[in-house]
Amino acid sequence: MAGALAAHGERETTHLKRAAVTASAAAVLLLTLMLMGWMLARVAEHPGVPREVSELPSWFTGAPAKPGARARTPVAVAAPGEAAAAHGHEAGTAVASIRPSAPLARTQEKTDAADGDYVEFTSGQIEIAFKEYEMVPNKIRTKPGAVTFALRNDGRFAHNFHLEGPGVEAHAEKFSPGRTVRLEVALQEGEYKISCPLSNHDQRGMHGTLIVTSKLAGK
Amino acid sequence: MLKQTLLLAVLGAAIAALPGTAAAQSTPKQRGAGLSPKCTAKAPVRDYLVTAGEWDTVPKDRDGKPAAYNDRGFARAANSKLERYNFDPSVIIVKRGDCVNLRIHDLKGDHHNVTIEGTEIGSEGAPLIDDAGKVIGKAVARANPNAFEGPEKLKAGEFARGEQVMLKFQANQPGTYRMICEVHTFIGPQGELRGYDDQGKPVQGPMVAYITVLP
Repeated sequence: MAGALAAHGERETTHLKRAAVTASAAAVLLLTLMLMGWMLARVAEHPGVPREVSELPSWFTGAPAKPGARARTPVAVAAPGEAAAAHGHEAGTAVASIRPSAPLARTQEKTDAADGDYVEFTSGQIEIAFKEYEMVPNKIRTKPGAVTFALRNDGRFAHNFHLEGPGVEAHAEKFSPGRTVRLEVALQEGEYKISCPLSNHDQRGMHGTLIVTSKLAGK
Repeated sequence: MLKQTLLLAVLGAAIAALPGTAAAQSTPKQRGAGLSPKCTAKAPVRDYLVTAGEWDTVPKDRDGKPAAYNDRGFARAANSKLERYNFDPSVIIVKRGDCVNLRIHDLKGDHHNVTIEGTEIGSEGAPLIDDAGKVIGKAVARANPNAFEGPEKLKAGEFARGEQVMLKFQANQPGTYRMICEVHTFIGPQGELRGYDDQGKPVQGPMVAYITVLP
């Protein structure tokens, strides 16, 4: 009888014990989860704090993302044939023959070997790429009349464009890497100096010659 | 019972995390260039005064006499010095969305120029300010106010000894940006910065500062 009672009491205690253990485990779990939630909230409040100190994230050491090849036209008119002009010059010629009204579609033939190193542009659009510290091409021949310069910055730093010659002195606006700006100028026959007027870019080699003549070698 | 507590705990954690997450999402995420020249109205403003300096020394040997070498072991020509051109501070850390004002003071050196890689931010046309922050001019091509010691003409973006330019931008994209003085730094074809130009002529650089934008 007494043994049975003791056994009953023991069973009761084990039951209580188990309940106590479960409750304390649940409490610890609850506390842990709440603490984690609170910490997450704190971290989210300060997203600038690096999470892993041992391993630097890629944005920390990596070069800033380039603005990409997005061409924007902050200076002047947008070319209607822009999308078509992105392909090769043969394609450009074809487009121009289909739509003869498009004045800025790429129709120039770059006859590099024509006269020394001079590159000829006959369509009224002159494309120049800017890098540190050069302009490509930097020896250019073209016809007199209205000319649109498409200036593309392929470099890492901002550049600008300056044109000086008979009766003309023109500036573009400073443009950052990845950007293309356009500049419309009416040119007479003669020799023009092109350069980047920023700091010492000119004396480091960012300059060239533009010859305007009605007698192009390609003709 | 246990299930109920667990559910409660998870719910509690989720609720605790909620306002913080919402705050993190509301930080400005503008598209476009990494550093934009215009700040939004509510952006916190951070001011930095940066000096542009040139410092030189004559390397000495053990006996205190001028050593026979110079930078990179080049033989030391008569009276030549070892020179260091720098920005101070040269590491600037800001948070994304901050509106950053860099006041760059040409403390030593006839003239400098400043430009930040991959952006349109640079000293060309930037306002020249006095110590009180008042705009007193623009860093465009002009006569050098200190012409007695340097070239008579400053080109676009160059500023002379004693002048301060103010560069203002909003840091929109995390990353580390290089700010260089192009007068005293040569950029190689791979974007490497050199203290010597492609003719081997020393340009005493690289004169560079790093602007890190935290996300």
